[in-house]
Amino acid sequence: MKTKDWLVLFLILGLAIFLRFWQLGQTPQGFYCDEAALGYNAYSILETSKDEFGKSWPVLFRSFGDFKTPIYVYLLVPIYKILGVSVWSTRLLSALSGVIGIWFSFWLIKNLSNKINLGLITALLLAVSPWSIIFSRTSYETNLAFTFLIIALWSFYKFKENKKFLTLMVIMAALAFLTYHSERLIVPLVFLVLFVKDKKIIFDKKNFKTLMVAIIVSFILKLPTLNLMTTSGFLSRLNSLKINGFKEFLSLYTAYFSPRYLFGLGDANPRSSYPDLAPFLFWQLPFLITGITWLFKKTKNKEKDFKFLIILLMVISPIPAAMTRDPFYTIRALPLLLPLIILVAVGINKFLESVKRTNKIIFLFILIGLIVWSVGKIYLSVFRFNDYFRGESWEIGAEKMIKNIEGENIPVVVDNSRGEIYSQILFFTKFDPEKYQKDNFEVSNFNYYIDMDRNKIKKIGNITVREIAWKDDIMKNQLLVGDELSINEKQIKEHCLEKVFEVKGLDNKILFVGVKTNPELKKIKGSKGCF
Amino acid sequence: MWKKIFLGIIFAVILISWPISLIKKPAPIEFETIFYPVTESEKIDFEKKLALDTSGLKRFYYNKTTIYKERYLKNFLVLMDLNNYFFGMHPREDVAGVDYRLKYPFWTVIFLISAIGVTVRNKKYFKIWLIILFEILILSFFKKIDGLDFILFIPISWLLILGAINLFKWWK
Repeated sequence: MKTKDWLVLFLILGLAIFLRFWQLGQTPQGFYCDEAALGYNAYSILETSKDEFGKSWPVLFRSFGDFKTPIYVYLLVPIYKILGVSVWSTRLLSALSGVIGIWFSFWLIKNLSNKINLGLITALLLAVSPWSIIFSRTSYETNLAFTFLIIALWSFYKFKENKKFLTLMVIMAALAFLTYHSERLIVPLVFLVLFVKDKKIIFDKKNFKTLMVAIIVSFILKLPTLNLMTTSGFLSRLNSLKINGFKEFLSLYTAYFSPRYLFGLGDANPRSSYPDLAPFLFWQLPFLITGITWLFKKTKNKEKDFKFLIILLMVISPIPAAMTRDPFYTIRALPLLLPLIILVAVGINKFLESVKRTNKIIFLFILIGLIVWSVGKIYLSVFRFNDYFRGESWEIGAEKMIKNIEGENIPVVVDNSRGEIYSQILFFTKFDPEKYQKDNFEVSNFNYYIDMDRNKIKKIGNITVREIAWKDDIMKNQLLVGDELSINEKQIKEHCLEKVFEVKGLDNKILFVGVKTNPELKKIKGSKGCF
Repeated sequence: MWKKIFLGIIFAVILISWPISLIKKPAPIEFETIFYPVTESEKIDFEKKLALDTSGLKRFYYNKTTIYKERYLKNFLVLMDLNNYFFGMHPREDVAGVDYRLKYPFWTVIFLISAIGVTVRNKKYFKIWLIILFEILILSFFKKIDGLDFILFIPISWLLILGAINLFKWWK
């Protein structure tokens, strides 16, 4: 590679780092309960080698009646050890994997297509991809799994040149498999097809030893999870998201290729998209169409592997997402980003190759202009609009509320009729995991993966998380906390409560209210209340 | 003989589904364009966005043309949506002004994919895509596209028939 190519690559990585790391701990401003659960479980493992339920080194993490995959949690443990527990350090792993994914995507495309420009364009498009940015700035397992998958694919093609890469490929594929639910289907299918296609190289006698080592390593890594494949824990997620038949599946599947979703509607889940920003930027549509046209055209020999991989990823990646009932669910279909963004890059590259030298310079300027325009749009959506329009979905205000009740002398009851606020309380107070495990019992170690019954009442020091029982709770001296639906002005007057604090969102909507009870006054006033 | 009967049935299904749905539930044809006055909800949403950024940047992205651009793009993307033609807009039937009518049976989507394969390999078919694109670009200017979008019936049906013929080439 020439110096200028290295320079461009590092500039692209710089842009990717900026869009992923700038204000990482501040925006999204809230810290969603799933993120907090991952974080607190990592903290609990660090301190006690057990998760919040007292299970030592779980293979899957029990969480809100569901199970979370383990890799993100275990990788957070050393990060917490070095950097401490914070929103920033929890999201760091996602952001890092976003940047590493771009680096390996570049090398994958460059090696497969023998075109540096195509690799650079793909890396640039990934750097400014809203679909990649949102999952790089939030602590979900999907981005980490996607990065492992990209590294596994890169190693697979490197293995054709050097057999040592086979072990790396198998380890990365196994990690991708273990990191996110979708990859449990995508990874075996993709690599099965690739292995069958290149069986002569893979199953060559010379590779026998390496292959055996790789298979054993992969098996050891997957064994604990494979062991649990028939338990309700492993299957619970799939069962809860069942769809109705083939037609439903096909409609959900085709939605992942529809311009309406890719360039317009985006993901309906407010935590999986940014306001006014679809997974792809609208100007990329003509290039995507050009890329698709190229895909259907007759293939030159040297392009065969490259096209094969794109088609393979395009066909397989949406399958797990389309098997669940949520329409266009980008978190589950993240691996689809790679083939689609490669096709956009192919479209741009085809255009660059077809125009004359002078026009090429003009086109390059237009392209740079479009990227600058996109960065501006991303800036507005990610850093200006998201917290205002989507703050409530990110549970903005929880941290402030927790600061208000932390260190309170009287008992505190936090209402949980509409959420899983306990994980944020544990995370932000860094509550002693050993004490929490001792005070809260939900399931025995034996039934950890089988018994899905939940204990909705959580005891966190003098804070109890449960639904407010008005009849009894107002007769004790305590602080009650809830949202505006749990505690409203009428109830405050009716039960002679004293408002202690209010937490408002950026749109001035009341998110949490804290009130002190006054049993003596309530006894005097009776049912008349304090109107 | 059997192939001809089989293909004949497929062609008939392709050609009657959309017209039948229009006969069963006629679409009121309206020629009002997307340049109708700004609604209250659009105005509120727009003003909020303007208030949220204090830099001059916002004007570049949010100006007088924005609402009309958004309306146009919304229509354009609906008309580009595979699920609009084969799944009655499922799974997100949420675009105002669009009727969720069945246009083609869902299984005929395979013929479209086959047609794409044929047409991109042969330049003489390029015109059909240009016609579809031109019609979509024009239709996107209308407020209510249901009914008016029937002008796409001929080129799309033609593509599906071409795709079906291509798919059953092997059947002698």
